[in-house]
Amino acid sequence: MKLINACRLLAMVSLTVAAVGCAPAATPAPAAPTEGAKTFRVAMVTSGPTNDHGWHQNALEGLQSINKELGYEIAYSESVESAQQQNTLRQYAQQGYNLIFCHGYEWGEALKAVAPDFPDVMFVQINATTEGANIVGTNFKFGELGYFAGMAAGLMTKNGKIGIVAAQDAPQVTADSDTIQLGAKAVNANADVNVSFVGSWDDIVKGQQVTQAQIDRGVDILIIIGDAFAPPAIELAKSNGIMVIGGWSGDAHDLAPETVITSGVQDVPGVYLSIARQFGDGTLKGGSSFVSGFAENTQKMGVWGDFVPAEVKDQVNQAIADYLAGKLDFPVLK
Amino acid sequence: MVRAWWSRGWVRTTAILMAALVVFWIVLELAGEETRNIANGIFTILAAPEFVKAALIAAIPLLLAALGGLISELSGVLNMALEAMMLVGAFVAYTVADHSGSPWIGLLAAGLSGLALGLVHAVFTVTLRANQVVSAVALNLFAVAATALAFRVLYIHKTFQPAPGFEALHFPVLSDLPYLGVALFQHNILIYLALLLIPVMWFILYRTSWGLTLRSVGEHPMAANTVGIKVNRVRYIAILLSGTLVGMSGSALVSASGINAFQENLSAGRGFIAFAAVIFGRYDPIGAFLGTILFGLGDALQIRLQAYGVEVPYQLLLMLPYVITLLALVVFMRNARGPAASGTPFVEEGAG
Amino acid sequence: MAEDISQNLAPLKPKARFSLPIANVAMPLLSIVVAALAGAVIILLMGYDPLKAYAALAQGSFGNLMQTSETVKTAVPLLLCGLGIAFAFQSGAFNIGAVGQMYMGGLAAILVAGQFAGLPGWLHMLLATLAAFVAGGLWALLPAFLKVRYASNEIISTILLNYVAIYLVDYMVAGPIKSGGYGGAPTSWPVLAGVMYPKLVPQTQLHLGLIFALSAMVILFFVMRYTTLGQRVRIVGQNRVAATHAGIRADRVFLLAFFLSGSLAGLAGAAEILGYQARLISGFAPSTGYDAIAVALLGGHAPFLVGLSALFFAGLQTGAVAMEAIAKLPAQLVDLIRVLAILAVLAASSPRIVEFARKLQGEDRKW
Repeated sequence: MKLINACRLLAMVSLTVAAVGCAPAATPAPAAPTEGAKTFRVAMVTSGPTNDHGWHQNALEGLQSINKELGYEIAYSESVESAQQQNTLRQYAQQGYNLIFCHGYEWGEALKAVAPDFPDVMFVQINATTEGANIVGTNFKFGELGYFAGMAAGLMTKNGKIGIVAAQDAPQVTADSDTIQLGAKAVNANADVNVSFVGSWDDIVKGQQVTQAQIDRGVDILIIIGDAFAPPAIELAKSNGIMVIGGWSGDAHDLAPETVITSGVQDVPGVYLSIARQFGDGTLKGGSSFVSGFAENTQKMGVWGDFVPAEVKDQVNQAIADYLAGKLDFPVLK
Repeated sequence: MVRAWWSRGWVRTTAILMAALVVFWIVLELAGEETRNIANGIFTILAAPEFVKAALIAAIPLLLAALGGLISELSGVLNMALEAMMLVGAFVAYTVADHSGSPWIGLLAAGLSGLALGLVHAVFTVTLRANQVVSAVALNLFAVAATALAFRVLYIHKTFQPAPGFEALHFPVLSDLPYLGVALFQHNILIYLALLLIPVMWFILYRTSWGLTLRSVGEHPMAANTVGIKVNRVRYIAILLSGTLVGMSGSALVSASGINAFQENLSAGRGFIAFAAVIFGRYDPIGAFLGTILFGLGDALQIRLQAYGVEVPYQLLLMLPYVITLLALVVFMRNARGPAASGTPFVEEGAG
Repeated sequence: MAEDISQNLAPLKPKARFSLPIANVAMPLLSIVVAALAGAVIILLMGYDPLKAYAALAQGSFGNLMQTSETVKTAVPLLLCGLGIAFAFQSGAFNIGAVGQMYMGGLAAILVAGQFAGLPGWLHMLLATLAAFVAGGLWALLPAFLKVRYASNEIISTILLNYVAIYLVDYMVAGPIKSGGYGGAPTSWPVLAGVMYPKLVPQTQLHLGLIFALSAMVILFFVMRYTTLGQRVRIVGQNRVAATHAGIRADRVFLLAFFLSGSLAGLAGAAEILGYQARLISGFAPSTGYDAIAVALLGGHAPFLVGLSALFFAGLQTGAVAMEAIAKLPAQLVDLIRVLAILAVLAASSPRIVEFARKLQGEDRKW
């Protein structure tokens, strides 16, 4: 029996090896674009699915806008497991992609291992502080959106109970959930803000349960920070007549115009496009890092619902102006 | 005498619960203000009808899957592919309901898709006599990939699109009862159908000749064969039935709390919990219900503790349902014994 | 229950005579070809080029030294977990908990490897590995103890403990051991310099973990075949009552077997963290422990065959990366192709097909 098994497995392996033998030798594409050529090849890698209505979908939109606006060739790998990160990065670098986006903090170690082997390739890591001659890091000023969302919630609430449904206890999330409390308390002393974590960005069933629990607590405003579970959660809030502040990537206004007060918008596609543009112009310097937010227009409040009183909008917009003018200060992750 | 009484499960359960309550009360008396506040919060949570409602909603998809798993396992075929069948069922239920406009057609299609997966599992485990666990592991991988791919192909549009789902029912008097109304009588129809399935399954398994046949095939296939039972045919039927039920559990998962939407890997390991509930419930429909409702209660409790702002890291709260189930396994469910022939393929005379 | 499974599936004694197994080579080859053809049809239907896809698969798995080393590196944790599962299986228990044990191993490894600066590198490395070994073992010992003491079914308890371990890692990386840098993302502190496993061959992914995995494979082979411990484990696995009558302390043997099973999975966690990932992040190996069940069972629980089967699984995984990156197939399609291959191998190794193959050969050759 063992021998049978051995033969079987040997056969499997030999077949694979034979397949390798038959395979046309992979021709490595030219590593660097020829002088004067204006078109580049851009790749992106994510650890999550690119149809999550959030973070990873925004990355794909960013990549696609690079293709549309600048005409660069694009490619991407999604839902990459940590154990295959280096392998994936290397595959793209070897094929001669010039600019490779790593979408998220989780790519840091793989980048450190791979980037030095490909000095001609520029790597960009989103949401990370990076080091390395050919690595660029970008970050949002986490905490900004939370403060103004919290203000809006504090102004709109009638019973003072505000619930946050957040994905995960990550600094990028808690920076905002902390400032939501500050913003709400600043305009409404009675504000009672509680955070629930779903423990996942994409588990829509659990997201629904957590949202329902907040609704059962009697909140009249929900702030939802998540990816795939956010749209169904907004739907649930809508059917319960509860107002929502959504976003934390795209604008949630269109999902439920009569429910969504406003959104905290992170312009991920904008960041992708501006980096690619700089790369095309030759102005992108390896080792640099970009931290952006309201001042750079990569974070902003989204479309306001028609039902929101003008005073509320004005007060929040005034606070944003004060913040930009340096008259208002609160903790922001840099 | 005392010992005989003590050995009865419910007597022991009640006694231990009461003892725990007394200890809890004493601790509260001794503890300070802050602890009492937290305890107060917990009591508020437990006393609310929404708590029971949420627990049922969380438990019902698991229950359907566990009942499905039970049929297969009683016939002697481990069905660790519950996860796969649930996921595919969920996807099909959503897609078909979305395109046909009827959640009932979605439910039916989900059952059929589960049946199809059941057929694959049966071909592998009964006909080919391949390892039952490997077949399940492969099917689980298959389900994740296939549903994700089909979801991409069918839903390229970016906006979120809920499908028509089962509406919450409203019974004339019952739904307006003070506590019970919210807790028990405002659910959608699937939840009542699933609950109804418990006595039906119990009756079929323990009071019909087919139930006896099924159990004998799982317990002693050789003996069953000698009295003329076609062992492998019974197993085929059991796995197909199992797949149908589990596929429908996917529909329940999609519609349970009114999501009516799909996302890649929607089942997220719930099939494994249902698998555990089968064993936890000692291969009995009522036990399976207890197992899943216990998990549902644990889940609803941890989510509410968070919502009410209990200052415990949420990851530890997320562990709660698993830890509670594990503790209950140790305390109440000792010596859970499965069908004797579980896991072993049957070789008919002349076939080997 | 599990005892019955193991009776049925315990690898039979190999017979000494060897003869060329034409049908037994042809069958698995044929099944893979069928799977590849089926995959090709799906790839075509989806509008991609199957030849390009399979060329990428071959290139990405064993195409050159670097890619082969990626495959071998991917096989290391699969092999370690698979060996552990196979070993527990011999003792008559199903260890579905390799996921959790691997997570605990990874956690223990980073706990040791991320602090205590100043220790000599090799000692530090050894201690971190040892910690992972022990942590994985203890995490497996818990369900084994519950089974021995309370007769709790180990399949359920190991599944439940998987989730507990996953959430524990989530908690640790977001709280007690979170990194200071990286904008404080939910990752653990990094492995200290000099504590990472050294590379066996420069410019490849082959690291010290490979040596651990291969030694574990050889040691397990000898333990199972030539030692009284191995014999006892097998007897306990086949019939616990008979084992007790024969004077074996069945419970003790069982606990030891489960401890070692978990330790190997813990070691897999250390290999992944100290050999490759350099930092613990939540969900660092979500499927390895489950894939390893299939690896162990396909290998028929014989250590060397588990090794080959781990290599096969790993090749599919690394090749899948290339199918996505080079042939531009969507990730989900790539996964589907991978599963087809696994199903094909499963079918080819099923008793029914093996019998059929022998009949085709037209000989009742004794093995």
